Amino acid sequence: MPIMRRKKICRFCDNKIDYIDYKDERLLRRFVNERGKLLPSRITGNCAIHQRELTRAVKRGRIMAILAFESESYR
Amino acid sequence: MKRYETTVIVNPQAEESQIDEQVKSVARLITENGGKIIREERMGTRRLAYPIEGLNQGYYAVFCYESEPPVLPIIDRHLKLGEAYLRHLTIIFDGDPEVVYGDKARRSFDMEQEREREPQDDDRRPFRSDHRGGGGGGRGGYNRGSRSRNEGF
Repeated sequence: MPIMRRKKICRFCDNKIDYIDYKDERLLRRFVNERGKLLPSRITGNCAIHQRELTRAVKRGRIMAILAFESESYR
Repeated sequence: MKRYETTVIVNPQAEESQIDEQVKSVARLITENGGKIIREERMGTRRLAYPIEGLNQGYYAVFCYESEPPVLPIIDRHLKLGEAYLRHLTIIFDGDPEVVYGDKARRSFDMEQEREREPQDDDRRPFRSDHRGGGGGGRGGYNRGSRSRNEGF
């Protein structure tokens, strides 16, 4: 039996989101881990276009102190 | 005319009237230079993700406007010189103002997805980590695949 893997879909494509706002902390939060590092698209299932947009948004968010560059408080 | 979005963080320790004045001066600068403000959004005082100039909070204001490109250095200069501005960022805005500031689409993205998908979620999806409450499973996503799940990291 082959291992069944759920097909990953890009959440942005699925929801037809074409612009990712860097001020939207709640949204960005799901794509970074507890340390504030970006999760790879390998795990989130984002398509390349949206992963790129997301990366840009997260980096902007970091500049504007909406997201942390790094956070020690983990675990 | 191009569409831009400038966000400024103002020192929240000043008096309210002063903060207001700082924000308004940016708006004035935009309009005086032939720009047209599409949207002005005050996000208000919120926590900074990391301290800036020893402060843990900042007053956020966002301007979405149309302007000629040469105006940007003028605005930038103003924001750099003003001591009250903790930080600022101008980007080319290619989103839909209604969506970005209206909060409609975003919220539906947040909620619907969580409701729709959650039942079928296999427990390892990374998105849920912040809903599980701190300290719990944590960084689900990183230990997928053939590697064994290693909570300790």
